Amino acid sequence: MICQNALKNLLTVCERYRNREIEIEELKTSVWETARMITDVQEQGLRNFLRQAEGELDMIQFTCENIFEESLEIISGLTEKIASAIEDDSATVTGNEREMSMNNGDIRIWIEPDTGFFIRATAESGDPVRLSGEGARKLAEALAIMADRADEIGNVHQAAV
Amino acid sequence: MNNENDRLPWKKWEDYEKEIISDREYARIGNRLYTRHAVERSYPASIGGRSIAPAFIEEVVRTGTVRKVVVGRIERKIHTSGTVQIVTEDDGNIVVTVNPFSGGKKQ
Repeated sequence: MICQNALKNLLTVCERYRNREIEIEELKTSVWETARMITDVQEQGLRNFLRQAEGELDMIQFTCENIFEESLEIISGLTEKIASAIEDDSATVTGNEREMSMNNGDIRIWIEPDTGFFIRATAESGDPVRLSGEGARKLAEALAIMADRADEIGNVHQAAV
Repeated sequence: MNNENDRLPWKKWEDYEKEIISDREYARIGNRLYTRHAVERSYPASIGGRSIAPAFIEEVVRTGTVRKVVVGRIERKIHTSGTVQIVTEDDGNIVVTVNPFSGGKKQ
């Protein structure tokens, strides 16, 4: 699983750079350090993307007159990629036969054999959970899987009674 | 890569012989001077660098394609070979920065 906090931190750093609160050197360091934190083979594409972005920023720093303006395109690509990686990761469904969760636990689906099939969707702040299109599709898939399991468990339970 | 390149030392900034030109300190590696930035980026990944040895940098400077740019009235050359890009100034005598992952997109 991608290091969510590191990616969220990098998004903040990109925003601070866009607002001219930090220099390109600090931005580059943050991009490189985030790339180094990504060790999962499945996330190799994201790691390579970050390493390349850092290299391009370095080239801009040493070969362009208007460093800030020239770097904005890289920053846009970076923020888009990071936001997409965070979204994909938060839409990952985890769990077991009777319980599933996604969005870092904000959405929970579980089965209680005697009482039914439950869903709870509340963000840590108490607000409703906002889903992307991809997240909504993953939730629909998870609900369908859990509904089938609930049916199976219900049938087994009824047979036992 | 030729044998002469193979002999170029790959060390830490502190361990290279230094030269000062116009109040700026450079490391002497073979026939070229390197900025501290370039030396530190060349370090192995295990110590935070981009893992690009001086011998390889030399090869790219000698054999890569070259494009000239002017930054702050200083002419610099971008030497490219595959995804590797090396920036030099003073007609290739000073290595300013090294990038094994730049991809060559913007240049």
